[in-house]
Amino acid sequence: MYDILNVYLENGLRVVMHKIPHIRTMACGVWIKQGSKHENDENNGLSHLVEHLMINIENDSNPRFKNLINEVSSEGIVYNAGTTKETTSYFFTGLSNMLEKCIETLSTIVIDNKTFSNKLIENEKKVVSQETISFYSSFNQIIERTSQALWGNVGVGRIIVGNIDNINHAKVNDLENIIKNSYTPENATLVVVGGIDYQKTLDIIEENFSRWKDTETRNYKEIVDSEPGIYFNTGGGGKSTVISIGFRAPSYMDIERPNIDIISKILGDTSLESRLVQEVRMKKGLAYNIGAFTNFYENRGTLGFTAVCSSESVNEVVKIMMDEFHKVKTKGFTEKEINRVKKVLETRTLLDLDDLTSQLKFLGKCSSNGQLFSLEQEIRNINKINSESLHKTVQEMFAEEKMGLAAIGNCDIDNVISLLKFN
Amino acid sequence: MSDIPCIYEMSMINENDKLKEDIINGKALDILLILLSGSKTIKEISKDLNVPSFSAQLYVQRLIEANLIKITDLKVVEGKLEKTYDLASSDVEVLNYLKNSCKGDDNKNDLELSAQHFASLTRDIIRNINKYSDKPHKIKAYFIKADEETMLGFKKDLDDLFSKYQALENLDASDTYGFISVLAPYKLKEN
Repeated sequence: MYDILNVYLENGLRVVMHKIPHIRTMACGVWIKQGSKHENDENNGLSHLVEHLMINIENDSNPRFKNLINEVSSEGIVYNAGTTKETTSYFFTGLSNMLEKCIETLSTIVIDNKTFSNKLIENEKKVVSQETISFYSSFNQIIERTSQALWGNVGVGRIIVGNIDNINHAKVNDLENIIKNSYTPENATLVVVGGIDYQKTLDIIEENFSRWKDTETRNYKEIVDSEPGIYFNTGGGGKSTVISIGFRAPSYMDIERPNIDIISKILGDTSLESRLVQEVRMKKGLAYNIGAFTNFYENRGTLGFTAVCSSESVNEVVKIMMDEFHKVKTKGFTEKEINRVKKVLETRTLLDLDDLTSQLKFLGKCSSNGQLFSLEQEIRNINKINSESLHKTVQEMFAEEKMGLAAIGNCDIDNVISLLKFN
Repeated sequence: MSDIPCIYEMSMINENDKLKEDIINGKALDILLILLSGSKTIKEISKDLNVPSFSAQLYVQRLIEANLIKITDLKVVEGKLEKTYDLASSDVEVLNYLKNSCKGDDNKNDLELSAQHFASLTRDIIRNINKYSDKPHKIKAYFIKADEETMLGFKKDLDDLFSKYQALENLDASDTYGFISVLAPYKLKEN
């Protein structure tokens, strides 16, 4: 049995707890619905900067946090934070006897941080700028660029690290506004998993989070571009090109999600068995880096297939990728392929079940998306997948009207797009 | 994955000077012609061009950067942002003349001057030179080194010539002639 307790405090804060019997460890975290999709052209990147500042141990404006974070660190608590397109999260993992201190620390992060000194902001701007420059200097950005191509430079198409100029020119007011408008109890979820007692944990939470004032949250309506598009940058004219063929996919909560994960793995998993690795790398030696990825959000998702190759080989690689998509549409997958990948996904999910931080993040993500289910349910969904359901998903997904393209490198983009046809 | 020079630009398309080549290929021109019949969304442009939307967006983006077309309307329909594109300038005289000719006049349907067919009509005109070699025809291309003032004079003369013969149009005549002129800088000295 997998029990999840979901309660709301009077101020609107959602609390999700999952008790795992017979263990002495716990993980807890707060998820705020504030990510790059909530930003605009002028403040794209600032949610991420705020995240850095909120958890900065040099923040003299919040002495209580400074003391608490030193205390929990010295007791071996591991903490981290993250910004995605949809959320900003802060989380702690450690022994269950530190739960109270961790929840208190979380409360000081999200409730007591209202502003920051100029000195702290200027220093963190440099750090975040460096992180951002590293991101934009790597082919790894292709995953985000694919979402940008598919959904536009709005909503979930916005890049998390954002615009370097926005970061460099950020003012204290810009950051305070993000906190004021989105760090509210009704816009947050507190998740606790591990060796916990529900009532005691709830008492601790109430004691620390009831003081969070129920202020108004900014209004947000998600917008994306009407049609999938293209991202292309010559990337300084190097010898390599990274290319990503993307498809608009359904949301995190959609019943098709496990199917899309299976499709991505059979076709483009980095393991040597996947079809694209076989065809592009093993048989033709055209690329070393071949991959596939899925990103699922509250209202939509992205499926992408990537390859890094020499600029001269791009056309050939794209032809092979399109041929494989055609084959899947017409001939489907073999039972052997399906069963192998189902086992891979099941194993990955079971490994996540044994990892408290993974469980915490899973519950944080699905509760932020408005629904709760367990990792065991994930396994049940994976096991239900069969060739018929995959065939249906493939027919829906692999269509020109859902396709977009991201490419960085010195390739002939006109030739590339002429190859991307299903009909 | 490997490192590349940092990409600071936030634009969706950042490439070398592709536009000239693309206009020669006819794709950008096709979009300009499609926009003759009025404002269009990407979905409509891609349908007219019979290419996927990402492909249409590449050409549209190039034309926007060349200031030949612009976004004239933004609206949100069921959470989706629809951009409407139109020609950027009324100085594209030939196109605008045809556009006006096409608008709301069913009697002229036989001229088939719809934007979508304009490129193929241009090719047909050239083919017809051979077919109807006894009829008036002329192809002339000239690349002239000249100062701006001279070319402004030429443009004025061209406008006058157009106006003169437009005024002489006889809608009852059985023959239709095509006349296309392009006057634009070919190669300018870089500052």
